[in-house]
Amino acid sequence: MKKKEILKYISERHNLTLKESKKRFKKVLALLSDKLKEDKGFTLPGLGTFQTQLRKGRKYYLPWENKYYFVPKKKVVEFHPSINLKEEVKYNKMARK
Amino acid sequence: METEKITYQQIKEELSTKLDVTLDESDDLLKDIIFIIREGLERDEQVYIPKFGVFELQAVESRRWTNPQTGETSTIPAHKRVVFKPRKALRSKVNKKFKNLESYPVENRQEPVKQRVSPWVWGVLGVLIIAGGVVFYEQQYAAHISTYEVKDWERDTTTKSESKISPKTKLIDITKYELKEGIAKGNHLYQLSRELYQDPKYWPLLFFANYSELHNPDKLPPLDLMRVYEVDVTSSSSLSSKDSVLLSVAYGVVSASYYMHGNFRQYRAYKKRSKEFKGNKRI
Repeated sequence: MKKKEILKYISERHNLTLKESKKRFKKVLALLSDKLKEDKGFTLPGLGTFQTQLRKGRKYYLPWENKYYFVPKKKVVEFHPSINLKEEVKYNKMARK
Repeated sequence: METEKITYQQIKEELSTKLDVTLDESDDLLKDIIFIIREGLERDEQVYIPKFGVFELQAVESRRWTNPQTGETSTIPAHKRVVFKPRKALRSKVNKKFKNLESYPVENRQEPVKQRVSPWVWGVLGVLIIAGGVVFYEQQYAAHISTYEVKDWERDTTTKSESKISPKTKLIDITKYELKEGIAKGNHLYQLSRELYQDPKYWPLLFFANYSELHNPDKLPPLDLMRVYEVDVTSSSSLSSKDSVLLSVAYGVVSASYYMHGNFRQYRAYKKRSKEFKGNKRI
């Protein structure tokens, strides 16, 4: 599913033009990503929870180069799907292989 | 690290102020987006959301699983799971704090290498420990041995104190007993103990009596003459306190000599038995 279909669906439901729905859609996403940027998690009912997590800096070894590399710490986004969604999708026969 | 959480209500309110719409409308908008994502996932499609991320289904192969508590094995059938892959815009936005950090090669290990203790130190420590063990056992059992010897010496000179008399010793010619080859070659004292005391388990008495000649219970030198305690171990149903002390000392000496020659398994076994004899028990 792509952006166009999403926007079409929104504009049909709310009686909006495509431009208007695009603006709103962008703002929703901006809001959600801003919240994640501020280290604030949230749950969207029926979908799941979003939150951020700090990955510690670590070292790894490349045997073919015979060198150690240091990977700095970073912050990543985590998503945990809700139980309802998980179970609905789990044995989905419609799903392609 | 746990992040703070905000409620769905707060998101709705902020959205309504941002878009200048009512609460219900913003709620509808969010729910529509959720509905779209769910529908796409149920049709097993990748749901691209620009500058945010991709929702998709990932196939999981069937695998075996054992319950560690009951030990039952069962198979988990193949299924699908939901995966969210954040796009680069979102990733870089969240990781803005540590943007400047980059991975770099490390020439040497930064961890301090543990200084290895040289083998000489271990050797000295081992010698010290062994010596400590020997000294400990001498303190525990050599005291008994010395008292017995002193009493033995006293008995020859002063026969008055009969209560403190230690068991007499006498010399025996072993060759008169019809034993197997082993004894003459110094394999074991079991058979001689069976002949003398009617029970092979009293062989530590023999070992203790001849401790000046025998040192290692595993390797006994061939002997013709032996010292033997004149103890009635077999007659009475329960051991007298003196005999039990003698037996415990003998067992202790055997265990100590096992310890000195590095046979720790036997050392533990005989140490246990010597403790049991101390409690005036019959094994």
